[in-house]
Amino acid sequence: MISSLHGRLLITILIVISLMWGAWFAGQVLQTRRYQEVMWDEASRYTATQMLLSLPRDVDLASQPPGFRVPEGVEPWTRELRLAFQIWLKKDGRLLMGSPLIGRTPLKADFRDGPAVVRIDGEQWRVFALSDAENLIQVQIGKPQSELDATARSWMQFALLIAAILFLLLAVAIWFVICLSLRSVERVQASIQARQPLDLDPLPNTDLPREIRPLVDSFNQLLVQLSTALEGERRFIADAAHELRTPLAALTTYAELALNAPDGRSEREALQRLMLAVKRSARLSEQLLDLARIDARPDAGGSQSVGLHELVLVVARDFEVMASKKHQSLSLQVEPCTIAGYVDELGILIRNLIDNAVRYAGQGGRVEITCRNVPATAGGAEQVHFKVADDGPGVPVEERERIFDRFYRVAGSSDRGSGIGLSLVSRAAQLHGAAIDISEGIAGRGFAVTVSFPSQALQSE
Amino acid sequence: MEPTARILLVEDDVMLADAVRTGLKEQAWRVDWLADAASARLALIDHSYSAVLLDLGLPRGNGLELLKFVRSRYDTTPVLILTARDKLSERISGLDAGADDYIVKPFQLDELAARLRAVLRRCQGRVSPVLRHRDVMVDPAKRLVTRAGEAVALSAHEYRTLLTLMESRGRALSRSQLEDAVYGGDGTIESNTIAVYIHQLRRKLGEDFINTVHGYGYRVGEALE
Repeated sequence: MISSLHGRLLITILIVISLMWGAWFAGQVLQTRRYQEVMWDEASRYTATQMLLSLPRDVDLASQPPGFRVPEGVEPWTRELRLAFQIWLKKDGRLLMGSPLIGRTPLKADFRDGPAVVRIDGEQWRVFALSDAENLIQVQIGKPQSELDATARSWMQFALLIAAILFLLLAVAIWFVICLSLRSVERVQASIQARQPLDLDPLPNTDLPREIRPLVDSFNQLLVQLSTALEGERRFIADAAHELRTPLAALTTYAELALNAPDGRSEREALQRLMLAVKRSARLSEQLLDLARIDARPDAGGSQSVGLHELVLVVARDFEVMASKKHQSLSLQVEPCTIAGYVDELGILIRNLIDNAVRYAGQGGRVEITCRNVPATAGGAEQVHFKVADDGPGVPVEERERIFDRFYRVAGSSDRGSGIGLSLVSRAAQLHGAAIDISEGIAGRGFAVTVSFPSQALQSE
Repeated sequence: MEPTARILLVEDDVMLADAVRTGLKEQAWRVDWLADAASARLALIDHSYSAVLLDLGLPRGNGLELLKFVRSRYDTTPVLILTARDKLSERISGLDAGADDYIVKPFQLDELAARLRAVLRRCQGRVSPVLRHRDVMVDPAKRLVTRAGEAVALSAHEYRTLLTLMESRGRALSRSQLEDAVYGGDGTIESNTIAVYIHQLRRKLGEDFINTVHGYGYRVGEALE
């Protein structure tokens, strides 16, 4: 397969043209041959008639054999133009006259009038016979078939020569036209090649043929997406650098305090603080990793059938120790719910919601996790609701809109969060086409987040 | 608890492995440590361990393959997998491949020890031969459940619920007993998940396969005299 567009176009066009021309040529050859045969038959009839009419009445008395000779140096017949005639007396089948070329055998042995093709000495002859009105004599005229073919052949050779010349001219013309039309593609290619790495400005799309323009347009669209992704990456690195520095500074400080502690009690105290700071930075790095993972994820493809209730259970168990340390009650009400989704990203969503609830519910607080199917309502499809509610201090109504923004922290919250958790939840929900609702938590206090996933109709599981 | 229990730790991070070994030795466990899947595979063929602590991301073959290999030999040694927090899919496939429990990195040593004890406790006295009730057959060695000869697909938790009920056939088990056997947690989470698994099991094995003992729990088979 030729990969160049030029070559492919040229070859295809030339092949099509030569096929069509070949068909036309074959038709012409057949037609010409037929035409020549008819013409020859007509000419023979005319010649035979003229001969018949010019014969004397007493032709049967003419002396035998011919009494005249041609002068020296004149050939009696030529190889190229072999034409033979015979005049037969019909009643006793005697040859009255005949060209020496053919001898004494009748051209047409059956003596029937009209045209025919006969075989003489292993050669095809086209002959014509004509009798007079009284059926006394018959004139026979013949010509070898190869003579007729030779005429046709010379015509064919001429036609082929002309075709070859036209073909070459056509090829050159087509090549020029193709080059001319592909120049705009080459221009686009050159402008891509001349780019700096990470130059994400759109390509110029003016002066482009209608066929190329969509290509350039979608490429530009891709560039826009890429630049958004790159922008996100840059922002992430900047954010992460800032967020990681603070806890690391705290770690160093506490470690130094522990090392320089004057007595065992203050050393232990410093170590405990160090432990807290370690946990905080561990959580932060996990969230930053989640952020990077979920940001880098393409929006579609590869989703699978997931039993949300199973995931909720598995993730909720991670919080057992933390909740029991804070004397919290964690309750889980689930029913089998199947959605189409991505396990790891759903894990991020579930974990961050439960983590927030356990974090903010405080000592002896309550956290309720529910996961249930909600039947289709008017104008809405069947859904799966995943809800996490706590009885902590909650979030002021005016701030509820903003808590899903990245690095937004509710003012004055004691257990200082990273401001990443809910933005992860929001991104994961968006990935699953799920909606997020915020409401009051348990018993008129606290805070509840409900994520509504589109349900996946299920037969077997 | 067995003071002489011998644990195989398969973990490629030297720092973490060292910390875990030190911590577990202090609690009187004996710990063998291997850093890659291939040598762990050999060790599991040659020795018998009380439990395996298995990291899933390993050099020279991954942990999940190793787990599948262990279970394919009908080896019922309890396996506790160590996974990263963001790899929920890994955890789920680990459970489905026959892991007994998992612990999420970074973990605390006392939590690890508690989980390990729970796993060992659950496995003690577990009978390996095939369990049958009506047309349902459970083969713990192969981790296979069939109903009338047809294999039934169960999630890891559904399977453990069924196995626990079958092992104490004829005796009623309370919800918390079941919960303890299925997850081995400390019971802080109050949930209806056992009811969900019972519901799923009834759907797959027949509505009357598991009896409800009102106000208490569930039972497979008729009550023993």
